[in-house]
Amino acid sequence: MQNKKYLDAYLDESGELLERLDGQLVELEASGAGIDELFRIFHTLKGSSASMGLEQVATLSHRLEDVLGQVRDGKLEASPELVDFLLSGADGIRALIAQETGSGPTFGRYGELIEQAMAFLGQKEEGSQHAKAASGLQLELSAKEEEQAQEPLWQLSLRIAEDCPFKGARALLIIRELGKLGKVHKYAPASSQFHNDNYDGSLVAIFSTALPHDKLEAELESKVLTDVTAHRLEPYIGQRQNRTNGKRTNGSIRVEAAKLDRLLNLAGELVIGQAQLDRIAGQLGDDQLKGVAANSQRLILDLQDAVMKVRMVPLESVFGRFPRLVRDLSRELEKKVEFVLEGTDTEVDRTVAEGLLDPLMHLLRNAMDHGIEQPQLRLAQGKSETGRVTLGAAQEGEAVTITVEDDGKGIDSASVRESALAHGLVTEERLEEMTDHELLNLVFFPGLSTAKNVTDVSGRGVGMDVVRSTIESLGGVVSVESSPGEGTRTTIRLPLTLAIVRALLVQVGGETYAIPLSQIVELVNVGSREIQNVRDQECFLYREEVVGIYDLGQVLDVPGYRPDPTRAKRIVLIDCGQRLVGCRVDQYLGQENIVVKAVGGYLPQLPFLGGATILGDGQVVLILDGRNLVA
Amino acid sequence: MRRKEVKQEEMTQLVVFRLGEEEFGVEILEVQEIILLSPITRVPRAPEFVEGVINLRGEIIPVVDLRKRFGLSADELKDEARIVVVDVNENLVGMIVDEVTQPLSLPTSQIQPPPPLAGGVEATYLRGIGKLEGRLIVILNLERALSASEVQALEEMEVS
Repeated sequence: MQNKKYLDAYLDESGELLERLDGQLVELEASGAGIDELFRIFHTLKGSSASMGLEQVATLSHRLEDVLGQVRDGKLEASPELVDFLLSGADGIRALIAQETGSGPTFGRYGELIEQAMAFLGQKEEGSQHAKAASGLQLELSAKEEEQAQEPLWQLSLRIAEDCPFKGARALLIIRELGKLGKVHKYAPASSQFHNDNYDGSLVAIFSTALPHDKLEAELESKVLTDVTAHRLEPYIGQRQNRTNGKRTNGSIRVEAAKLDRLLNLAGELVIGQAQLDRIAGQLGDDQLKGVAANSQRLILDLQDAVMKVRMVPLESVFGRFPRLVRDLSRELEKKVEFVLEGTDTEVDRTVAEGLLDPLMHLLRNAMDHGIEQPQLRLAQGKSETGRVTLGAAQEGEAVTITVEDDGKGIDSASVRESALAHGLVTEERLEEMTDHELLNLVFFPGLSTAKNVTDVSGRGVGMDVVRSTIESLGGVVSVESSPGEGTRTTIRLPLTLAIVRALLVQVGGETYAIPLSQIVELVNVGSREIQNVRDQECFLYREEVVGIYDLGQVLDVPGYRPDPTRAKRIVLIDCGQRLVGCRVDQYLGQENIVVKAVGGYLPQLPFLGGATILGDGQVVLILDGRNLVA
Repeated sequence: MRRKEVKQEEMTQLVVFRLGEEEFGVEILEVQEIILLSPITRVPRAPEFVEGVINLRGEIIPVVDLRKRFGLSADELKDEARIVVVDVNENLVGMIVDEVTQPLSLPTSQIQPPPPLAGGVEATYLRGIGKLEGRLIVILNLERALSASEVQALEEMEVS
């Protein structure tokens, strides 16, 4: 294998391409769309593998591209079997790359896959003619020529009928007709060949046109392809560029995560420094200085924003592999499932995106395995035969909400109760007191699997609690809702970023604390008349939910704290995932962008603390983690 | 003429500070810096001897009161009080002390193993006792002395 120094870039690129490949193949099976994109992917894989010296990968990609070519020309149907084959082809490419780069075992099915490809290709007579349509003729545009093309580039290869009397003349006419549809950049063989007596009638042309694919096909059929026995039209893909209908791919570059982290740290320090500058300028009272400080603040906040955005990736990067997962599972479990993805362009911090992979896989498996019922069962219940699983994401203020929803049989709360009792998680009395919501959310406790048969796919009871702890380690919360017979929805709420957050500063008994805005639902003023006492716990009604009120001064053991009974309570409503909690504070001190700093390894992990921050005046303020403030 | 052989004696260098009436020492390599008292932010529900955290040039580090740690009498801190910032297992911790006196060098041979109780502190937290010019310096084993987990375990035992 040559070119070892490009290996990393190649591995990155091919990894991404293979992932996109999975998604596109599933799309192809479902709706028949996306062939062009698939072509591009195989083509790029072929080219880059070839330049890396990975012969087998290149050949396999080429064969798969050929099979795909049959599909696009309507000679082959994108049946589940074909898609299965293409998917195993993609897996084969992965395995071959791993084998060649030393990170995987020897892949034994190369020959088998090539044979299968040839079997598909040999199926239709015209197919083999296709391969001959432009054999031996290679055409490439130089990078400069590519640049100059204003419109999408296409490559047309064809073979003029044997019995056509003046093949050369026909070829020239074809070129001229093409020129009317757009602009011909290059063609082969050279026109001098056309006058040759043994001109064989093969022609390849690269041209650009604004016409959309179907119109282009129509025009070609009616005006260009007279006396042509075989032809092949495909988008022209340059060596270095990946053009998508004239739009360039977004000119991205790869950056080491460590460099981004450093950038983010520096931005954070700048924020603190500027706050100090601001304060001093205010103290000195110099208008000029104050002006400069205010200006820097604007700039620095913009910079901070931009740096945070650099770390953000669209959730698509995580969601991308799920269509295939769902498809494979639906085949394995013999269930019919429609998989819907929403909000894939929602962005989150890259660490968060990476951390979401496992929990989401588990939730999807659950939905497929325990949620969606067998087709016959669904029909018997009057539901549609095909179940639906939806994975959606949306940004809501400072947080991102991700939901996994299915229209299956829902969680059986009776099973949950039994299981909870059997595992000794709760007492009978506590169970009586629980709301349905609380009961359902018991599924997040370890060992609580209510699956009757522990299937291979999921059901060992280790899943949901790991999902919860992973989400919590990302700074988020997770909860579940369900309706028997109708379905289940799991909701994950995550903060947008981890390192610099917007927080509310509050004062409690003379001490200042910060609460991340992503955890805050609302700030409410609760008058004494609205407060009820439920089993020694003060509560109030918030939108039909009973929310407990906890005095932060007491929760945090603030020395000398004494709540003022006369004033209305200022309550910060915090979303703990499974419930809402109302924290009473003395005062709101305002919102700030704060840099989250670790408190150092020495102190034992205090679950209600989410780090600390340094304010502009140098004061250290602890950041509360609302999810663990109260038991 | 015979040349006298001067043997290089192994020396231990200590930073010495005062807690109440007793003098304590820690090996100089463990000390990062010594700073004036600065505003301390209380940390709720932390072990009692943890006073809170401070801002050390942008880094947030915990600060402990060794007098409380060892159950020594804790008078009001005077102007001479300082925070000795030490490195324990790659974590920085600040220790509040009544006063920091001159650092010393003394021969390692002069350091004796500690008796069960020295300066009011149990032997398990000590490295030894150094004797120099009539002074007794109780040398701390920082790792053990500052171990918060031990204290928590003890506290948990008390509660149950």
